[in-house]
Amino acid sequence: MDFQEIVVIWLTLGLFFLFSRILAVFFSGVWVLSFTFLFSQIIDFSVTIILDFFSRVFIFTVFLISFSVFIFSQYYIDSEKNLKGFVVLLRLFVLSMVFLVISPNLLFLLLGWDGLGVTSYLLVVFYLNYRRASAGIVTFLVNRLGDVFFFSALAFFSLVLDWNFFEHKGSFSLLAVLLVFAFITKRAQIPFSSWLPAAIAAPTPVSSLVHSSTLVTAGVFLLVRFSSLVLPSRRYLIVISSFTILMAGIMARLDWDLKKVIAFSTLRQLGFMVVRLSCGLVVFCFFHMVTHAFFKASLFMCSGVLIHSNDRSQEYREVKRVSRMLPFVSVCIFICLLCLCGFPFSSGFFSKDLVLDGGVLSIFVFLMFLSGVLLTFRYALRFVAYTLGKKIWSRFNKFRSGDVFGYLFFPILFLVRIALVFGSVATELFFLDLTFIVFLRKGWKIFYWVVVGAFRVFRVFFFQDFFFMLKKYFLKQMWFLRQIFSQSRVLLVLKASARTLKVIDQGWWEIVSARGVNKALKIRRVLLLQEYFFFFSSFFIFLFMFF
Amino acid sequence: MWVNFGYSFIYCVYPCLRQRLSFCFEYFRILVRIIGLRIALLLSWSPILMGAGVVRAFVVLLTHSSLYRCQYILRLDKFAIILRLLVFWVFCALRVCSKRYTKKVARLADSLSRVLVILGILLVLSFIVENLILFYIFFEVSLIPLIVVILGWGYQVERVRATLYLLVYTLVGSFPLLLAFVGLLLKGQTLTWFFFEGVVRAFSFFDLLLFFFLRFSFFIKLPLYGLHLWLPKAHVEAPGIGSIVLAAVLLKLRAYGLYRVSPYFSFSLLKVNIWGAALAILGAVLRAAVCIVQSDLKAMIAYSSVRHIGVIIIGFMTQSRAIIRGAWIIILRHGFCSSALFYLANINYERHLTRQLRIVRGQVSVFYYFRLLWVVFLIINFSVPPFLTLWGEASVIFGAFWLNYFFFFFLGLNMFLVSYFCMYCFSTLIHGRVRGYKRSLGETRVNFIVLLFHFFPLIGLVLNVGVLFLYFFSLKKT
Repeated sequence: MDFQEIVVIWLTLGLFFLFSRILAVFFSGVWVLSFTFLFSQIIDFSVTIILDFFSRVFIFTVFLISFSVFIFSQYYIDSEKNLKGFVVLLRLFVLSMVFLVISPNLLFLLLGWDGLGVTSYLLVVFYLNYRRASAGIVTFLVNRLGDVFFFSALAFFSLVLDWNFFEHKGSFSLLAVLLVFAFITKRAQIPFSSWLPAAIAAPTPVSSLVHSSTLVTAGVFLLVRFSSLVLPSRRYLIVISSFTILMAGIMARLDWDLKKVIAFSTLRQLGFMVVRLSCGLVVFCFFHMVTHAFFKASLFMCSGVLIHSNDRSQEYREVKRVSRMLPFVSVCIFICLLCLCGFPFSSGFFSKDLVLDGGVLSIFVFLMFLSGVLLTFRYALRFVAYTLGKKIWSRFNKFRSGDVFGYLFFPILFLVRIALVFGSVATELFFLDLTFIVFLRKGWKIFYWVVVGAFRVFRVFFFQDFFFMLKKYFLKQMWFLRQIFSQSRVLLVLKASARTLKVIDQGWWEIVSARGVNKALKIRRVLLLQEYFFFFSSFFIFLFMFF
Repeated sequence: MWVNFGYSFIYCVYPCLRQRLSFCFEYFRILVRIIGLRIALLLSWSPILMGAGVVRAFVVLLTHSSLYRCQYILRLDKFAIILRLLVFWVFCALRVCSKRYTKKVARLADSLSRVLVILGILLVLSFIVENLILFYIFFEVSLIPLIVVILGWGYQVERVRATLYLLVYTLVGSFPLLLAFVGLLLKGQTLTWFFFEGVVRAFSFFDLLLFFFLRFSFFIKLPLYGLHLWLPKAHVEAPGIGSIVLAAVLLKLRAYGLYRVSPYFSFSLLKVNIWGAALAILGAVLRAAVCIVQSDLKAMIAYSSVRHIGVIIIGFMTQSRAIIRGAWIIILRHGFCSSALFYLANINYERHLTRQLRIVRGQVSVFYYFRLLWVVFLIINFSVPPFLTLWGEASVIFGAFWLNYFFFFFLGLNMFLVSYFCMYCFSTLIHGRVRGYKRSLGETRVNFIVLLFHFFPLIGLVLNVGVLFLYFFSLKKT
């Protein structure tokens, strides 16, 4: 971490807290800056930057989080040889996210989009072992699928010959469908969500960035950006993301991996956001995305401390009694979980309440939502019980443990403070008019408890075996997504290509051309090269006779 | 907290600074060299590319013949200049890397570099020559040094067979080419490129035959899918330098020929061309699929380069000037990128004396900078921004999409498979147990210089991409 960088970002931060009123003015309005860096007689080739409310707030978020993550990575990757390379990769990652956020021009948005895919792969395989390799390949390939969707959407755009998206208004078309597919691949929504738990193999600073403000959130951010174009296909989005909420909630409840649980909780929160977005409440979605980014990043960093001081083990059952060993970190975890559950007057309270109460579309969505809320609470409780509970810590590493003051203490505290305060500050600054909107009536809330109670009774007293089997073979497998998008598919592609090589390239084409002709003419001996040369030299002599 | 930061600064940042100071001069020298290279490159490329119109500079050579009063022998237009620079650039790189050979086996290497020089001269001549028959001659003769390189410096028995494939395929293509040139002579009464534009106006059987011959011959030489069997074989059996030359320059020469002959037909043959484009697209997909299972590192790169040529053919088949511009961008990119990949594979070969991917698995992870270069060139290979690759590929793919919406499915599959095989290759190279290697060649400076030679044009051309890409924005279909 450069000293200069620290100073610059600190200054920005100080400015933010001192002159928040002035910033509120600054954050209003839309600036579109166009840099024409090459021109000729025919056309200007320009790079356009859009600074509207969304991009400004989100870039702010990205910078704050990446700042603390950079410092944290000094603590986390301390034993690694090439920390420098890691920092460079992380910088590229953040840079491509910035490109993604600020460009209204679709071609330049592609710059950020593809950059995110590649750098995320390189970050996932940073540790170079077998598990990381397979996880990285899965991550990369599923993201690449999204790239292909995005590229095909671009091809549709190219028919219009105008790459600026804010010109377009949507109707339901193939373009909207392609864009939605592209975004839900980046966002790890239900058909494509298998890469998210795989991407957990990355070092913790990276996953803290990925899950809070860069890779996964990029999909949601672009949905916000393209909301006018995407909203015609809202019905499908709602169904997909509601199922994702349910699936991720159950997985977070059942999984034993510390980071995977947090990853699934991210998936759920994103699902909430997208359902709200597809109801048309774009700003609600955006607000929750930003607050969620802060507390999720700090939660990941705290879990990173646990993992680091536990010999790189991510098991729940091995991380215990943190409150004794790491009092500061445990307090931070607790605060973050409170934010996650929407504890009154934490930042989650302001945004998540808005997101949850934002309207009842149908009973299906309502049930999905509220089961989601309950599941959030349950896995948060489980997290607290396992990490802060009173049991012996088995593989505690004395050399790496404890609240190290500098690189650990500072970034987490920095982010946790923001995570705690941001909800109220931002409500006061930007979203003040949203807080008075409450859609949900009391009857719905009571109805929910009745349904959940009934389900509980049903499950406990009647169909225990069925639910056990369901859990084991369906829910824990991510609803078969693990089987559909993973190594088996990779092997399938390998087999298919091997078959292609054998049948077509080494089979049919050879028979049609060289080998077949050889056989047909029954040429036993190999033609001598000399004969060829002789023939063609005579040919050339024949040619030159004309001149 | 601030005190703590002060300490951290003293303990962490200051030693780094000191270390840097000690290596400062080294860095400075390398930096100067790199910047020098870059500036030279930009100077050499940009004014040519900046000229938006086609530069038609004629060098009049005073020759008399009985048939024609005066002949324009040499001609320089934009693409010829670019390709000539490509030849110089790549051969400079090859010259640098053949220095190592001179230390080891002096006589062989000397003669190898001689053969290469002859090949380079032939290539440059065929790029600038104006006369059809002269072009044909240089075009065909440039095959001979290649065969000499493959037969002389290849290291496997199968090289004879590969040479046979190469010879038979390309020479089957060359006779119709000659016939077509003679036919053009009969039609246009001249043998000069320049006067040939739109010569064939009517749509007779003879013209169609001409068209077919021209296309067919260049399709064999480029090669189109189905006629491509000689190329991977030649790549695999050639020595490292030979396959670099073949990928970087010789295929460019053929693409140049295909580009040159297309303005002869003033009538649109899009309905015929679309079948060629369809075959090329199918071929691109199938080759990209075949890349994945190649156990031979060089064969993998060879198949990927064949796939790129498929994309180039798609671009040429659309007959739109904008998209042909994109195809030219791909040609340039392919010239630098795939030759760099072959060079990297060759380094691997020299170190382990095998090209099997299973055996060299995990070996690259030892060398930090080689790992970096591998990933950079593989990324360039599958068209990721900000490199030049994306713009060319985007324009060609969008062009094919305009031609027929149905193509897009295959093109998307193609994109996916290419990225698949690139990352698979990279993943295989960096993961695995590191065993000992046969010869210990570390990260030598020569290798770096050659690879940077390949890398800087790719960066430098990004700055010019606006100009290269210009027509794509201005014209949709011409």
